[in-house]
Amino acid sequence: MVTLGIESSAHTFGVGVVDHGKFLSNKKDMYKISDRGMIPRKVADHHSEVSYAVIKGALADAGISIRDIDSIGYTKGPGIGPCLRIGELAAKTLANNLHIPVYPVNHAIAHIEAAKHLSRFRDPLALYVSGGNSQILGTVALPFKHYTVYGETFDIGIGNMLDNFARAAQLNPAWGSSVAKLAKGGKYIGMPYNVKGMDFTFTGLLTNAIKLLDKANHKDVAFSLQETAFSMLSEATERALMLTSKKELIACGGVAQSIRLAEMLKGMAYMHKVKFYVAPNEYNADNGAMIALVAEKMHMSGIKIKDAECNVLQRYRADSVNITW
Amino acid sequence: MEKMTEGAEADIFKLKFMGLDAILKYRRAKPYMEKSLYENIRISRTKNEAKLMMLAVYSGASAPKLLFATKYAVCMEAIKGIRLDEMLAMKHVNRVKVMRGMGAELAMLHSSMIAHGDYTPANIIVDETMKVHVIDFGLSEYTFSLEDKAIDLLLMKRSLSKKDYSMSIESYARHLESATKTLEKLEEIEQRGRYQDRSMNHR
Repeated sequence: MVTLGIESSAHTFGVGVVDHGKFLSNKKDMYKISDRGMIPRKVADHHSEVSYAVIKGALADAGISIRDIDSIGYTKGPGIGPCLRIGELAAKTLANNLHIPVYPVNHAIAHIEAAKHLSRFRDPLALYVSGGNSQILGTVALPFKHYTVYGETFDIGIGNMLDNFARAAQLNPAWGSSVAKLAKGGKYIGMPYNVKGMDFTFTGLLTNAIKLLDKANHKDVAFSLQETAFSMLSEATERALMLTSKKELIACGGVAQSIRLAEMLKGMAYMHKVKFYVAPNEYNADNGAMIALVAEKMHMSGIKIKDAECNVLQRYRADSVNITW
Repeated sequence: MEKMTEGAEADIFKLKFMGLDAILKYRRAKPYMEKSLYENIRISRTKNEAKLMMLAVYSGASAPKLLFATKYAVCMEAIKGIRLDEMLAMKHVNRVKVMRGMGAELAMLHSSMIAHGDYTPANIIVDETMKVHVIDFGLSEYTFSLEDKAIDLLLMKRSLSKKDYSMSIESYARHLESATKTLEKLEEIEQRGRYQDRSMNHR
């Protein structure tokens, strides 16, 4: 049972191959972000240009031929429309030529399932943090088995918030890891802290930090921004842990690569005797292997996908997906 | 002093205070957070909670009476009864009175400009006479903003079944003059993108 997965929701075009839950290969090509963020049309162009090479590379890494593949998965959403469509097109073309089934995969669920698979946890609470999303999810059985969103951001995702700040502080490259680098050894200054139950908002924090850039030391601002944002996430996650009384916690998504966030969550989990796992960076960043993993699970569960469901959906909610495996 | 439960940010103890049954809520330190950051939050939340609990009692709502407060802890009178979420899980419960009470209590709080912040069945205690008491003012605010009040309604809506919610909201509207305004705001919030298809069942 070999499954190929194609991921193209944002700046990464990734292809991965999975065989019975074993990751055989994981290739990707990332659109280079300069100082201005992503222009959808240009990112889509990039994806279509590299798609052939990346698919070929993934197959070569796995040591298989294209004819060995039994099913294909692609990212249905959430993501940037033009980019998603490239992945959809590639997957459908391959599936049509090879006469194999194709499965639309939810990006958020792919992140969670990949981390869950690697951690071997049974029923974890998941903190999914990436550019456009920041959510706390867990599975519930009723009315159908699905991931329910316990808490989420009311406005922007944490990744976007850090990127926006990085751009305002003229860091290069303008994303979260540069903020983390700048934040090293900073001192804490007061920042707005917005947690409502298990939900949170980031815009007030961002505006405040950008205003402070003129007055305070950049190092201190970056440090305080990062500390405050991650504390908010940890606190909301802690509440969700208490509510659900789950004993396992995973962090996944692009921002889960942050060392400081993992450290905080680990400390919090330890306080409540909860097991904590964060996947290696390769699987936290967008990648094709996680898409392949979920597509394989869908294939094995025997679910039939209608043609009309094989489309792209920019706002594909994780809690709308029926978990059939 | 005997530990009852552990919340997300506080430990709850049972004790006798001057012969009264009392509850002590102690906010724990969070060693995983930056110290100066959480210390501020910890103190201000405790202070806020004590203040709002008192205000709630003055407003006429049935909330626990404050006995004393320290830097990290609030001590209040214990309320005998069971939590509403536990009660709703049982069969043969007279829901009408309880749900009406839940709506009426919220109306009382809102009329005195108090937004509860976490108005769910887990924070309601029902006593023997089926009277409803509101607890946990940890996230409450004294506020004139409609938004905060509408969020109370949203949380209540999300945590109750459709039928239960319709009973409580009907009683809320009956007890609060400005209820139409909060209900309009609630509708507006629900129209916002992130909420639209959010699943409603946590339980």
